[in-house]
Amino acid sequence: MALPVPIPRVNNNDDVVKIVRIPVGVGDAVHAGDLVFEVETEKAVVGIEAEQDGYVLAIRCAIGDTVAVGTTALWLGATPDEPVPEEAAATPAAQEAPAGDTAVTAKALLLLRQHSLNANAIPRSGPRLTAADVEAFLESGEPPAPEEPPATLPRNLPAAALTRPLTPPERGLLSTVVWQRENAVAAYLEVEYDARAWDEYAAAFAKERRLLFSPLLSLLAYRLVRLAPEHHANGTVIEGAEPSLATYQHVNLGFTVQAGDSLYLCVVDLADTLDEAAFVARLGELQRRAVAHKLAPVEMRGATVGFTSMARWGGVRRHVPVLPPHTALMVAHTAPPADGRPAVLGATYDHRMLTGFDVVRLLQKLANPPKQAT
Amino acid sequence: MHDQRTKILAELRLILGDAAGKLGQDIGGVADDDIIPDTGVLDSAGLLEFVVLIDEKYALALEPEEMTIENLGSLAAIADFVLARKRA
Repeated sequence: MALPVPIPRVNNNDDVVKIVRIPVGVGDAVHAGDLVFEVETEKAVVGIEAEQDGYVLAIRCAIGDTVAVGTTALWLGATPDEPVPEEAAATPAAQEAPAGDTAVTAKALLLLRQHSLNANAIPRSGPRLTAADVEAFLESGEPPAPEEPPATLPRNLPAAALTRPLTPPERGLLSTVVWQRENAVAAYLEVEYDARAWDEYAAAFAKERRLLFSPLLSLLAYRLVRLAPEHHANGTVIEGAEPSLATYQHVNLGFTVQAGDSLYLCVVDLADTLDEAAFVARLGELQRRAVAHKLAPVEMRGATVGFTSMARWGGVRRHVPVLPPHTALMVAHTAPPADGRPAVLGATYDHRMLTGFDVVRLLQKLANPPKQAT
Repeated sequence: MHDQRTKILAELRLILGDAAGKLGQDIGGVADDDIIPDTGVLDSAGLLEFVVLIDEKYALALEPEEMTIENLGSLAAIADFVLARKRA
């Protein structure tokens, strides 16, 4: 059966991407890992790879097209002559912005975002605001109309003095929290534990390798990489007419890094294929790239389970993190209190997939280092 | 060579002082050979930021296996590492 190849979400900030290169043609044989598209996002040009072997049956977009994330852009088949299902082409004309006070085409929406314009300030030539309307407004050189407060603000609040479009990091954060709000049933719990065993384990690991940085958090994260599949926490729920549980084949560990005012989720891909030392090295490299604001888009996507720590901010007792999109578990570490009280490991989890009992058992195992180095 | 090392040490001390200052720490008591993580002037995140700064300043292109006490553990070790990198 023909397999659709959708445009993936490259990063949380971009709902549309631009097709800049299509290195394959209809009839070509491709292997898993072969480049099938190059797309341009706000931050970079990213390659999209085929996830399995097959023949290119159809290509539903062209170079220069702006397409929405999730759109089927290419069809693969086991044989080159498999029939392709009839479906809408991957063009913005097939996608419409959510309805509001003004219906807006996706191309027009993209232009509005690019130029920080308010849709309500643009004269329309028809019932929907089109890209041609926006382009005509831009060419006219007229200043945009003053921003009006959104109609949904309650009347008894003061009028907003200033509204502005969200920055890319703000859109990323909004996208993350909205995913949790709309898709997960988030719950939180925590367990107390004695941090001394982990401190000793990390100290021995660092001493053996003469490491400059404490590997404690990386080693905790690696332990999570091993425990998450064992405790069925490396997956997500797909709702619909036939709900299903998707278990990821590998663990991509998402690890938060605060770099100045930016919070990054750097992702160690295929973390379960690495040994402990290789994981610590790889995560260290990603952390450095995050602090330098040099993470590539592919290094910030695809997390299947998450780990975060507020250890830098002593005195933070409870930290309820947000689930990265399409994950079921985000573990939160805080620094052990200076007053001798037990340390705490917390976790936000998707209750559609995990019970509190599942998470307690996982955290209780995570509270102790492995008996042997892996 | 000695002048170059002295100059690099002074630069490193400034960078370390700035990083520690953000955490409310003073590096007046930190000797060139003191192991920086053991001095307590930087937490782990601060140490990471410090290393990123010197990596960028001296274009070291640090590899993961180079993140060791021997290479970067003290101001003196970092200065020697930077000089060795320049000579390479």
